[in-house]
Amino acid sequence: MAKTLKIFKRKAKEPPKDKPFFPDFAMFELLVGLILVVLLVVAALIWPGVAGPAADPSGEGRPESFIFHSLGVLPGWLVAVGIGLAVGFVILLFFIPRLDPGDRRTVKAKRVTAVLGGLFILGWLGLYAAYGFFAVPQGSNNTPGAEWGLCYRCHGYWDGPRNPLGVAAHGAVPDANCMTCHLDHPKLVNYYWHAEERVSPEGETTPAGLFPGTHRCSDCHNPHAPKADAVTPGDTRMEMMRAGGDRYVFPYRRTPSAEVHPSLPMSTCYRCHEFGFQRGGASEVLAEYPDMGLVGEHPPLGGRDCLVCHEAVTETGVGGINCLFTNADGDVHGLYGVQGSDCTACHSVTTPGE
Amino acid sequence: MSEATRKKIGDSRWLKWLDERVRLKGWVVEAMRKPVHPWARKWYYCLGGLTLVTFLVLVVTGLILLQHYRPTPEGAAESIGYIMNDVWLGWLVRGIHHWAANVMMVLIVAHMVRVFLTGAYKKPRELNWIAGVLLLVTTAGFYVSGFVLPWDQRGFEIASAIVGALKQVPLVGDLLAGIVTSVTPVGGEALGFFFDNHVIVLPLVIFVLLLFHFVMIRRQGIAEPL
Repeated sequence: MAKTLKIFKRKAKEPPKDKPFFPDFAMFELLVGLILVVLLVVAALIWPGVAGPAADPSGEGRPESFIFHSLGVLPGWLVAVGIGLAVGFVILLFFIPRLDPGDRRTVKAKRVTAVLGGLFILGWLGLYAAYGFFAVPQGSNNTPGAEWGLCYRCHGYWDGPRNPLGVAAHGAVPDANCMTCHLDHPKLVNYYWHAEERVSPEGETTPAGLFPGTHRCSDCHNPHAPKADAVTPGDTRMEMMRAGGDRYVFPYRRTPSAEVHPSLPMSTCYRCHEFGFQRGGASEVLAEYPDMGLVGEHPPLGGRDCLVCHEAVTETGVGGINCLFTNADGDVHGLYGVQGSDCTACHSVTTPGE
Repeated sequence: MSEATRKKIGDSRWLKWLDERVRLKGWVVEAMRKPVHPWARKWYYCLGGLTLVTFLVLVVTGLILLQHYRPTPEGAAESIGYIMNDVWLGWLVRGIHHWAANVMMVLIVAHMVRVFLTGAYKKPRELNWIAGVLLLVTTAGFYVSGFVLPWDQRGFEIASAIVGALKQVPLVGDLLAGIVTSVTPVGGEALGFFFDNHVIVLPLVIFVLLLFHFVMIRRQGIAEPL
């Protein structure tokens, strides 16, 4: 009987033993480290960041992020107090072992934890509240009298690359008020060629470039929709622009077309290109970018063969010559319905002097 | 790994040749066989190691960026544009550098919280805790100076804000601000200060601190949680 009971008796669990650093722990660290590196690469692929314009010390500042802008807006004495608190916090960290000298964590140590955590949270809340209190109207290049605080009604204080915080949707806004915020926001405005757009007090806008005539913002934009769907569904012009922008414009910034348009930020493209056409005709384009090789004079060949720059026959090529654009990213011209057309309908190749 | 495999590796002719010259075998074997206690085999005990991984990623990507970066007000933003648009995979390297910097700040704080909550700062590890706090400060220095380097509008404003804030320090404010720059608005002098610190001074400091940190961990082992 005693033997039977012994069989059913649960074996006492052995306490886990020490293991050598290698391979168990080392390989585990290595694996987790590799996963981290992969995650970093994925993050960089999805949000690669942008190259901002060069600093303009003489120009108006732009609100780039909450914390640093706050340092400029808040009174100097308050900034000094904030820095003093931060320094005090770090000094306090140095003395943690001294504040909690016992062998085991004590009630005193828990109080230290609570005080440190409380200081940290209160510091951030205080800074945020102070900004809201002291923020003053400051004009900017585009909208005199606009308040920087407007930015933070929509955006969170953390402004990472293409940060979507807080910009999901906003409520009903009269057309007359759209540009109060949007005209001052280069990322939103320039992206869709609204850089030179102006709005009348009645809310009618005169967009530059693509949309001749007068329009209201709400003709195309739905202020109630999330950012990604801010364009009114069914508006084919805007949808095609978005498709064209995402598919054809973004890759050009870093892949083959960097050779075609060296060092041009994306917004610069829109100064010449409009959905497959050249604004103002070739002369205006060539006046600004004489090396583009569009209608008009070809850049000096200097005795080189065409194939130095242009690749040989492809299915869309004409006369054994194919466009760099086509080679760069598939059939860009196909988007605009010119696939298979004669290149010389838009481009001419004439050597100067001939 | 079986004992036979270990012996086979240890008997390798090449390793013997190497050990006759560098005499590191004993140290390496000891380091590899150092026992890791069961409580240390938890995921949150990896936070320190992961911080080191992000640091190494930052070193590698930083060296690549340094090859193309120009630390002048006229050339900085342009060179960043060059890295993003023209350097092969430059945009990716810069993106990884950016994200690794952010992740390192998060990891180092998370690591310190773990150390704090497990009471790992207690005797005899007080000095290592202090080294950890210094590493946090040094990393924050890297982080802030890294924002200035592109010398875009944000970098310029950050540099201006730092100089302005330093001037507010009682008694020695002007002296401190003068270390960064003597010119207003801030320009090449301030950019040079942040560049020097980002690529020379702070790397030296962090190397010494990391060395001390790891040697102490090796000597003292990982603290038993409370």
